[in-house]
Amino acid sequence: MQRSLIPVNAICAFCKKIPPWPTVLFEHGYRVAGIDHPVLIPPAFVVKPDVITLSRKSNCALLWECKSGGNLEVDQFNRYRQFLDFVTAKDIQRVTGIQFPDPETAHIQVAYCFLQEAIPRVLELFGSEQRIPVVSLGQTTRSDAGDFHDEALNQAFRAGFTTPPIEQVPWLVVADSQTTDGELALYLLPTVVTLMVRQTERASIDDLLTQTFLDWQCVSPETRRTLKDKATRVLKDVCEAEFKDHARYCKPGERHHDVTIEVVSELMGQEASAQTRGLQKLAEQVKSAAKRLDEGRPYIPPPPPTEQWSLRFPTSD
Amino acid sequence: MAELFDQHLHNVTVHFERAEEYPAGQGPLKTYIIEAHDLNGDSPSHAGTKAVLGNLEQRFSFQVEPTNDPTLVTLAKGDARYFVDFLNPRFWVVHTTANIDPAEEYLKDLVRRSWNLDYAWLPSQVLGHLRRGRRFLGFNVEFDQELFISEGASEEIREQAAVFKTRYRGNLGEELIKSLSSDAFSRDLCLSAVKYSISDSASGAYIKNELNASGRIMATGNSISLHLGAVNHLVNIYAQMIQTLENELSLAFVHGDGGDELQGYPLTLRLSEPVLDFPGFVDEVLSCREQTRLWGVVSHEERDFVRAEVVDLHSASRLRLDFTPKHVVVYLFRGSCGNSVARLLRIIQEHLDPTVYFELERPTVFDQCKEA
Repeated sequence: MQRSLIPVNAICAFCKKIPPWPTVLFEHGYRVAGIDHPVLIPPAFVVKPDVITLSRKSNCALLWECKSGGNLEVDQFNRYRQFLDFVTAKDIQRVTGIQFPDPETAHIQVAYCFLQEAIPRVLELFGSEQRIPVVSLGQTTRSDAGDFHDEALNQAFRAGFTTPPIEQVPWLVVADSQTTDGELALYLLPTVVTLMVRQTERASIDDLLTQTFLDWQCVSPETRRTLKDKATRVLKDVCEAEFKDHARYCKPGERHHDVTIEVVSELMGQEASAQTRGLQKLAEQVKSAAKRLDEGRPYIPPPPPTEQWSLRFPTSD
Repeated sequence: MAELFDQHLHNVTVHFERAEEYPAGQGPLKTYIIEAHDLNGDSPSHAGTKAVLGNLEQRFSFQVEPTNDPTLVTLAKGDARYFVDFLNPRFWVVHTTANIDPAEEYLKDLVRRSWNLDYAWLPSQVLGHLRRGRRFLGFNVEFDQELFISEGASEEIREQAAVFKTRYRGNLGEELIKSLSSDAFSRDLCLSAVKYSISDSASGAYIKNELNASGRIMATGNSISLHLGAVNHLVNIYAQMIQTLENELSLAFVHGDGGDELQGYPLTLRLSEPVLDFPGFVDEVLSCREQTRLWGVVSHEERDFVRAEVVDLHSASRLRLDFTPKHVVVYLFRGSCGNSVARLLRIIQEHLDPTVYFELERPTVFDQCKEA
């Protein structure tokens, strides 16, 4: 599980009613309005809030920077400080396509969401005198510094609320540019299995990614490109190794201009018990492929067989 | 077809409990609901259904014959002959008077080996609802927690696994259900079939139906119209259920004119008691075996929490499931099949907790069925 995605998913979940997960943003009128949108701060800085939530009632958008705390970048925080001096709601509307009910009077605010374990270090680095609210995500989720402009929301975060174990956060955004090859395999290969079940002849990498990632349509082109490169690498590797009896990696050719995965599996044509065993084995193979890729052990094709010298008995004198 | 079955109803008098004893053409009329997808996985059209039927003819040696009605064909194999009505191409209505054993064997084989076909999966609450307002003649209960107990489970856990199977026929069904629902048995009361009759005193027409949890209605009586009316009601309710699940739950971040939007939501199925054997439960759900028919790979695992990437082998749909001992969270991917969720709920009801039910954000057909 990619821990850096826990806060991203927590913010998305707070905007929905998913028991037993808290509904704090949903109750205050906030809904997910943007995922992974890069925003330019003149002259040439870029920030990319992970999630943008918009309340149409209060005409306010929160731009969430979500981090596990594994790698804190002071530079990025400085950029966000500048961001507030340069970027307005109208800029956000133009760049992201998010529509405010009244762009003239709309507010935007940046907010951080960290895993609780990172908070002491965050406060040490940036102090508690923050223009930007810092939400700590843990057994109790609360804001530990800064204030939300939306007073009712500010009170809710200041008071804090009980949160289920954070590893159980509804898993909606499952990959970003930091996702490892092994983790990607765990999400992507089940989609290849759907092709085997349907006995579809082939599918492009884009089709597979669209069916695998719920947010594929919304992530930035840069993230999409990174994920597509990784997916291509993973599929090429696994089709030569664990999936060699089931799927073939096909380079672009005259008929197909993109890389495609061709299904060659005969699994679904087998009788019931052999099919069940084959499918169970396939699940194990997905796990072992993911483990192998995360351990940095790409598939190495066996060397071509060398010519064998025939055995000759020494001639007797 | 209606005339043929009307004649059949007039000519034969049967007992549902002895359905397997009747020779071909002499048993009860049986009607099945089959949920279907096109060969490319989409919701089918009438033309797409013809391609699916052609595919079945090829793969299962069924003889497919058209009729005068463009949305009605006959399928025949051995002694069994079925009328397949695909007026609603997503939910076929399949009628037969063949002996129940071969009729169900062929159909079971067809469904098991076709990724684009599945039965209907009626929650216990919906079965209860469908007999209301009709003369209640009896019910079956099937609840067995042993399916989700792993081989290596302790004797203590095994002893706690409840099994409750019973069949009641008579006029006191209402009182008996009320009595069982109000005490400790309510936790084990999973309806697997209901029997009722519908009659029209003015004409003397009547039909007795036994409806089971996989959408099979057996019929005896003297009115095919009343039977077809009951079938039509069932198909409409079931289609509404599945479409509600797909419309409400189907998850996707969608990029629109006003920005991005997270549509749908994961559905939480809350259990009234913690699962007896949590690893056994997860293993069985993801075992690929009948009835669950879910393939899955665990992507995250802790002591009391498992997350799995899942494929439904009956529809080739993508799902994600989060398991804890107290609840299961179902993520239905955009374009995936609502029948997968209905099947999972039914299996959880039959083998874990009959009180689990769909709790959607807005009032839906499920609330109507529960409260009516």
